Amino acid sequence: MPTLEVPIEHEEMSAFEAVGRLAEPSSDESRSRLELFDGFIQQAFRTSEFLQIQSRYIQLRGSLTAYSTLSDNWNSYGAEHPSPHTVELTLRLLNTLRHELFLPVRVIPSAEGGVAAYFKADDRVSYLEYRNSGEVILAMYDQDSEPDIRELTENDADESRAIALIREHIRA
Amino acid sequence: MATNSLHFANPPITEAIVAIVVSDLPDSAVEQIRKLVQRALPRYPKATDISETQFVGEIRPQGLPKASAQQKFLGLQFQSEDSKQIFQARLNGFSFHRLAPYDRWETFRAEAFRLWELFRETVGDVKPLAFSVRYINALVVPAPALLEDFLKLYPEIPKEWPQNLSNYVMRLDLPISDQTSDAGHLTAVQTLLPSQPGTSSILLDLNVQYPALRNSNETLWQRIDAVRPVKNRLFNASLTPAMKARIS
Repeated sequence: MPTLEVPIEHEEMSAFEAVGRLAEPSSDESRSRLELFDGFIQQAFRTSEFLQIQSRYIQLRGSLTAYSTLSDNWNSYGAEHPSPHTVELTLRLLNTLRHELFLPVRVIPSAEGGVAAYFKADDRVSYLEYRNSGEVILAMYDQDSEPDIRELTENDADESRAIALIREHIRA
Repeated sequence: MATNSLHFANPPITEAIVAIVVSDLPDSAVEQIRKLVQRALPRYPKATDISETQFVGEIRPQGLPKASAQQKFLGLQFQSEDSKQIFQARLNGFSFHRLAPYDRWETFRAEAFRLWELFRETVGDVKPLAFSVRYINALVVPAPALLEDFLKLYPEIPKEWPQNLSNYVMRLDLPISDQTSDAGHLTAVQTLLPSQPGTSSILLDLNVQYPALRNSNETLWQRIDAVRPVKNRLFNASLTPAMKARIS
């Protein structure tokens, strides 16, 4: 009887990825069958807000995993690689946001050393940056006003505060 | 168990959707759809375009290759302030989405109907072609664990095979006959979702679709109401007593 494996934290592959990773089909017929199946599954995901959020969460987490393997000077301008701690903090943020159905558009390594989560709606942008130095920077801006930049801490209360501020700014 | 009403204290519903496909509206209806931005206020303050971009590339034996891109407006998506309620008004249909927490059928159906009427009043005459009622569930169970302890619907694996599932995707298409119609169609999708350590989150996506050609508006909604016991029966039959106990 099939047993659910203990999920490997941060590593489990989802169906969203699995569909694209099925073995290379051996004939045109099996390839088209695979594409048809892929299309069906993708359609199921595309037409659900919840599944799109799950899919985006997995993509963002995949990006984070990739950043954890960067070396120093990854941008050829001398930037430090993101520390495992900043990757962990960003993952914690993503996990919180996934349950709130409010995800960043992307996560990127920071030129200052660390990881930043970017949020965007129309011309309103916000990012929360976890730096290797321990600084946590929240920035919010749009085309019409001066950037609002705040220094926060890594604790849970500040994470909640940052999420509330970002949400308010993005949805203004 | 009565299937017309099914209630669990901790429902695993992550999204419920009512969707109605209509005959393609003319491009002139775009202007009407845009009027919904004002009419959907104040409950749906956020509206975003739904569009489709088409890229066409042409390589010819003689002459230079040609490429073009075209963007087509399909409709608008509206979101409530808390993003828990969404509706789409498109040139080819309408859908209403309720994300968790899900309350109950009556409130879900009432809001779907209210928005559908708003859509009809705004864009004019629409001809329904098909409708669907879809419930997307995330069933959280301890891991490792046997799937059969929680679900009655799962992939059967020969005992000679490795038994540990790290993930799977299962999609079933089944014709369904009931008092509503004998041309119904169930699409069930099951896979594993991202989960917390020590647990597995199983997606159980049940979508029932029916043709609705030549249905009056009244008949259409009577038929949508009639899906309620059908989707309850299907969901109820998918779970073992242990799973029901977990969500009760």
